[in-house]
Amino acid sequence: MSTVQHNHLKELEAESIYILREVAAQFERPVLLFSGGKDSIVIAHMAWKAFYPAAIPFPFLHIDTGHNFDETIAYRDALVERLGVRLLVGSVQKSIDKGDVVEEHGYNASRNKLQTVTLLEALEKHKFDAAIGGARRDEEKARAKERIFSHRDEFGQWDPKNQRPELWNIYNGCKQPGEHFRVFPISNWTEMDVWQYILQEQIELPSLYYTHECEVFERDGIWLAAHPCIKRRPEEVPVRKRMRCRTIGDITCTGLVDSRAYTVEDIINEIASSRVTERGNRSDDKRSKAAMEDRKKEGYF
Amino acid sequence: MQNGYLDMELLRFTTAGSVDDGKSTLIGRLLYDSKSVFEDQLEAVALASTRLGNAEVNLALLTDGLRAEREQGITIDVAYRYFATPKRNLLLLIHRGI
Repeated sequence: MSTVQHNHLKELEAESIYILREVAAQFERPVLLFSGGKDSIVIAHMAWKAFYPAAIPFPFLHIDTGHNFDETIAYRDALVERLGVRLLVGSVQKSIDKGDVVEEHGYNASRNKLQTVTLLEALEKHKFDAAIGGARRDEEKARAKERIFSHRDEFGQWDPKNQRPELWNIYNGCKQPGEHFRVFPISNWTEMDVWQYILQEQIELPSLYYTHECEVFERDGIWLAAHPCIKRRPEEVPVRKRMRCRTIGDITCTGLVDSRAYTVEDIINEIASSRVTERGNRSDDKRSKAAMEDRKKEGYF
Repeated sequence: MQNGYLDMELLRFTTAGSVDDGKSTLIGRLLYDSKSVFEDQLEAVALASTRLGNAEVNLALLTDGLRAEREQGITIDVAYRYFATPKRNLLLLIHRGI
């Protein structure tokens, strides 16, 4: 007879599945924010487990900056097909065309900040009252302050100084009409936990997470993909290197790292010896010391 | 490697004390001494310390991440930090003084 094994990863998974079910129970129109990154892939996997054999009871929403890696989009489409969920896409390009946001120009132009407007518009349009995201407290100092059920006012804004108490596993989803919640089921996971879980569950990932040869150039100590959507300075000459992504966002802010990791096991060994955090290569966090907090207050996820 | 990681127990702990007792600083030092601070984090904290006019690197800034917390030099809201020693995983809660 086999004994029930309780380990650290099983506890984390149980907590996340509990949170996902709590969202389905407490809210009328939840949505899962799907970026194509490993964290949202892990949440999609757990959502599938949480409601199996029924289908996942909420749609996926992808905020598409128009600057995504092709692999991300292909992976996204294959996944929603396999899971049988409805995919909604909020397009930053459309927000720009409509004049809701103004495209940044210059060498450091990025659509990362513009996403917030597109996201809030999509939430309002579909009347979503809970948006599930893959943010982790371990990632970033402003995210370390986040509740699992995080309240947003009618303008989609976060007030970090006035957060509700959250005791044990009692999640409070009470809100006024027009307000919504952001829910973070993997708040308590670390980067290592995510990779250990991917290994345990044999989750398939976009190939960008593994080492691959690509054209990159260096800017302020960060290697970025040599792609037409990033304007390069004359001295920024692209080179071919074996790299992998540690996080995947849109192309303009995703830094790549030098890597020889071909498998999930290789990645785990690489992370264990890393001296830099995973977002150390994200140029969107480096814009100012409180870049993440400022974006989050405005409604960024 | 995987089994060792999964078998580790999780220890949750927190600090208690009055305002300005040095809870965040103590935790910052603990993170630093247990080598749980990454190079980019330490670099960011060192820069912020200089900007705030601290003579030494202010390790409390490792957990006091909000803009208002840094300006006022106090912890306003709970911060969660996760780290690991070879024996166990640790979850740390840093909260404001009473």
